[in-house]
Amino acid sequence: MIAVENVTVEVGGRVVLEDLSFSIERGERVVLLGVNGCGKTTLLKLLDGLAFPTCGKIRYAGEPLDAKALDGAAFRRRFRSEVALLFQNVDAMLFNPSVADEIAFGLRQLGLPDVDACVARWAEAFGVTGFVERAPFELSGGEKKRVALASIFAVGPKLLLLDEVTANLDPACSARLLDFLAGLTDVTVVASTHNLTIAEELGSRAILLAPGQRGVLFDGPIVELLGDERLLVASGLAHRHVHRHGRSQHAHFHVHAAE
Amino acid sequence: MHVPDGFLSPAITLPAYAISAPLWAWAAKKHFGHAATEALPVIGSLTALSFAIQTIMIPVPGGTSTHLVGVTLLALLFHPLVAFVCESLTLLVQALFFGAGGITVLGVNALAMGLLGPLAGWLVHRALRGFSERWATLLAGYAAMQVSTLAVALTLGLQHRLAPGYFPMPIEVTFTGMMVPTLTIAGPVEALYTVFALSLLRKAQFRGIVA
Amino acid sequence: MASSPDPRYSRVLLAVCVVAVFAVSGTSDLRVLGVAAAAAALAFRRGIARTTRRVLRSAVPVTSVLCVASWGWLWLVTARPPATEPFLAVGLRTVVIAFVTFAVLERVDLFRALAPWPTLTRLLVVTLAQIHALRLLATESLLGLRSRMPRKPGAVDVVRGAGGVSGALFTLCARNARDVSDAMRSRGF
Repeated sequence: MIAVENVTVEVGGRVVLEDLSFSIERGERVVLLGVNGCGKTTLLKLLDGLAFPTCGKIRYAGEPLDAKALDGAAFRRRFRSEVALLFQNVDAMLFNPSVADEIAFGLRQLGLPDVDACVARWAEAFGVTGFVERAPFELSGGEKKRVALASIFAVGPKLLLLDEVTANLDPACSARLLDFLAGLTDVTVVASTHNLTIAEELGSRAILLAPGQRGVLFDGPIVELLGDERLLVASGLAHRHVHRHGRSQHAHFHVHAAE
Repeated sequence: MHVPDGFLSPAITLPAYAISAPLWAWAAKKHFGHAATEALPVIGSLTALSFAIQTIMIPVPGGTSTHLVGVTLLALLFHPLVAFVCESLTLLVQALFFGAGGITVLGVNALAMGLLGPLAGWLVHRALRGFSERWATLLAGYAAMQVSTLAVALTLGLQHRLAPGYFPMPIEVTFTGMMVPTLTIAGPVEALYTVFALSLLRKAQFRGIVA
Repeated sequence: MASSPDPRYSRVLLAVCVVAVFAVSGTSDLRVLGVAAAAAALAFRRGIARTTRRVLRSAVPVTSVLCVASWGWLWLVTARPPATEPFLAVGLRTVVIAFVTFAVLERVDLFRALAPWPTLTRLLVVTLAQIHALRLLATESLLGLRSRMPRKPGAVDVVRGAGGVSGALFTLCARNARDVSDAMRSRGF
């Protein structure tokens, strides 16, 4: 569905991503893992056509995904209706005067029918019906996240790009969201996180990035990655933790769960 | 549009500073309170807000872009003197930290863009809001841009009149060069932005930020 | 780690810069401006290429366009080519002032230099800290708009989006102001 070929990204003289290559097929659930600063957000923006590589290519459904392609009205329309990105900073995505307008935004842009019914359905799905008339910027962080999700789901994307999807959500909300994502059919999902405790719930395939690392550190089944203590410690997602109990001490492998 | 350094002589820039400086002090005291713990964070935050709004580039026909200004919004939400302090500090920060120039002409730019323009917008809004809030806001945003640009254009014209050998650009050129884009592009853009933003923000309680 | 410039040196350099730019702004004599340009180039020769590039990007375009347009207009109106010296003087004056300003600002540690004026320093620190957060949101919001629109956002789309994101900007601004105020009081300011 989307292919990344030898992609390197430099920003302000600094190499953010170097020589990445991988492809994602329709229906896959991919988890992008890595510590802060490893380039997960940059990669997601590349996949959403908001930024372009310094070297290398990205292809969407076999066609080049570059500035020239997105200048074409037909390709742009198709791409934007099929691919949706949830920003890590959801404030950047909410710019309509009410929650209802926010959810309806994409539908109206695409000229899709039954906007009101769609808005009601997705507001209900994400538990925001109670404040559909309120302005998004007045909501709490978690409420904004749910509104943003409702807004991007409403257009029925085929490829969902989620940047730290459970950030700012309480455990109950996170759990409901993860269940919802698990229940989706016919959607390809690429979700980034540095939280290993939810990684397995986000997808079955893991792509591991590390700052300053050429290519990907790992690309394969997530269960394999989560069992590779050495690799997790090397990537910074886990560390060896020393406990002292009275006179004895022992070390064990420690994963941080909370954001 | 800002006046760049080198266009105005000290005969104009120094009196502009002499007028601005006491106004800054008075405006800051009147609207931001005496306690530094209250005043500094609010001035800093609103200035950062003004700065952030001015980074938003709007694409316009012809492949170019213009940027929002946002001072009218501050003037209508809070007070023209609040806009004056924040725009002045924005100009200073731009000059010192972001290479956007304008040290000698800071006083002139602050008066034109931070005071006269927003004040004009505020007065237009007060005069027309009884008829239609939306139109009052739209015309306020538009008027503010025109008055700011006119003030700059007239100042350059004055410089030319005082010393054509110093500033040889005649008022016909500077006036046209500045007013045409403002009348046709920057003015409508700012007016629309002020309407959209104000209709959203009026619902929320931001007035409490400033005394 | 490179050490910061001495604060007294920075203050003196800043004061000299302010006097110099005002002095240069007061002259239209090409010879004086030429000498000033040469003196500035010599005094700030370290990094002269980088500083010159900044000047070319910032001060030169607007000045050049206005000079050419004015020269052309005057020729049209007076039916004879106007003297070029005043235009050269304007150009040289803006270039010299911009060069000196950029060169000095690159060489001073502004915050240490302004330390004798703590209120101003704190105000600048607070402002700059907020600018980073708010500017990021403002620029990211345009990406957010592009991401959600099936066509290229036009002027009205971006203006409307900017109006919408202003809510988030103001909310963040208000919260930051409260937080900074609380932190200042908490730390005994």
